[in-house]
Amino acid sequence: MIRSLPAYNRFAFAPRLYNPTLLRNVVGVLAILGIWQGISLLYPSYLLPGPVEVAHTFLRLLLQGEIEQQLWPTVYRTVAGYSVATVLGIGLGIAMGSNKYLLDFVRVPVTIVMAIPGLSWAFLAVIWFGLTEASPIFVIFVITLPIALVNTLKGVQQVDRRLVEMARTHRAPYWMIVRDVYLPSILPYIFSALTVSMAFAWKIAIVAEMLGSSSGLGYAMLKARDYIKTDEVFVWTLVFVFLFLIVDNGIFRTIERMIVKWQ
Amino acid sequence: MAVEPLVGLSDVRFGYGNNQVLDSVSFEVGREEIVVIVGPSGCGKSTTLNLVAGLLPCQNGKIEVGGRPPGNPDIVLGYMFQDLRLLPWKSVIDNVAFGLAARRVSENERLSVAKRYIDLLGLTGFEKHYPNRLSGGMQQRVCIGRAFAMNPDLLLMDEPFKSVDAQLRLYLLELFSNIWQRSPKGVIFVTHDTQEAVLLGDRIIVYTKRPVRVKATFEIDRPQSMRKATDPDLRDTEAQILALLYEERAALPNTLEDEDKEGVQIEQEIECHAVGNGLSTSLSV
Repeated sequence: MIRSLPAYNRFAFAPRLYNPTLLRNVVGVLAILGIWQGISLLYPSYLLPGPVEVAHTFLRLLLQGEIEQQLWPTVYRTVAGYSVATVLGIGLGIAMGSNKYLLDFVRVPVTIVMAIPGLSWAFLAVIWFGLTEASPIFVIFVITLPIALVNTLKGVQQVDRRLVEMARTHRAPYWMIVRDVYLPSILPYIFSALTVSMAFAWKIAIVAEMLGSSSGLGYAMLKARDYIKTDEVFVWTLVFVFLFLIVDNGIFRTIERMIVKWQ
Repeated sequence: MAVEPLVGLSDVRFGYGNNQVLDSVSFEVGREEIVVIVGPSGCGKSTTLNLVAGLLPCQNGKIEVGGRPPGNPDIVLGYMFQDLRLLPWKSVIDNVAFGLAARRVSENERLSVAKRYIDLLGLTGFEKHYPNRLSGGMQQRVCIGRAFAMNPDLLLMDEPFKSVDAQLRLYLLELFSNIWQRSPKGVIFVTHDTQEAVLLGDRIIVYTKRPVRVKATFEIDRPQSMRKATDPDLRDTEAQILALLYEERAALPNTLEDEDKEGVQIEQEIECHAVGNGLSTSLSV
């Protein structure tokens, strides 16, 4: 007689350890590191420092408190410029989406502002504000504002009129239509406004700091380049990448999954 | 009619500019009667519903809903649209309860009513699911639930089962019919499907092509519970209706393609007008 045995998984005791997807991810990263190390052996350190050397420099700078010292100014400026810009951008986006006249007035200026390169703003900021805190914050603000605005505007414009009509035919009061139809359909777009602006804010912060600041990741990177400390350029870049991943994957994606769970 | 009808249209005309859509339409709907409107596509069936709902202004003639002009707050309206219009971010039970929430029924009561309809519609266990996770047929059932849960006096249905296959349609019709027999309401059911018409309608009104007049009216006495799609009598009526619709086709001056294009254009105009008096314009750019 054939009895069906319960499925026996010899990795059942450690399901987290045997995870083929994770395994492949790790192998991919290790392969990149290996190739990097291999190529770095062919060139002098000031051209391409290897991962071991970069890790070494990273630890040194971390222990010296250098990383902490340069990280916080950047975080502070980014958050400052970003929060003002997104609050304003989302507000303006909703207003423009709900009012055709306002949209007609503001559409062309916003498009022009978006077309101006970040570097132009950075130069102008130095000319206008000099080497002050205001300079990088201004650049971050000007770059993120239209991004937040356009994403929100798109969200307002794509609200399904048929759902609004459905709610109206059921004689739903206005506040209910806003709460149950407008807000939920705009929310994913607000999130993309927040995340995309954040990505731009970080990146432009580095540029703004290189030109108009005497502290922060951008400044540190510039200084490292001037002294041809290529390993430090790598370290500052890595610090930036970690920061970006933490904010984007760690914070934003989690909040988004919590709120937009119906998709 | 001895009892005052729920809905009365007399000599209703309607048009957009020079484009006359309705040219003298008259009919009545009783409080527990299903009136089916069939007609060539794009002829003005949806316009009729929008007029009764008060979404379009009555230009000529007289429309009364519950003895007053459309928009009468004493008459609760229920809707079924051909494009479901479920809120994707609300669970099945909240979608079914939406009409009740709009009427500010307390949460406990609306959830218990919604639950009753969910059970009746065989959706038990799916209360907390989101519509996107359900099959098309189940989404249709949620719509039926939403329409009935608010216990409307008048149910307006705009080709609600247009996009489902023939077998599923028969099933949904039966389900609809069962629920309707438990709590009968006045229904105006717009369709292009003659089988739907004879299975559901107490009265079937056949429209001409535009400008619309009532071409013919059929009364079906047989109670709904005794109607079968295979019944020869019903098939006979169905054939008569089809013959009338074919006449309307043959009478078209242009090719079919032209008629379809015109139909689409009219639908768009209707949509523009339908939303023109509300807040949706303020948000559509």
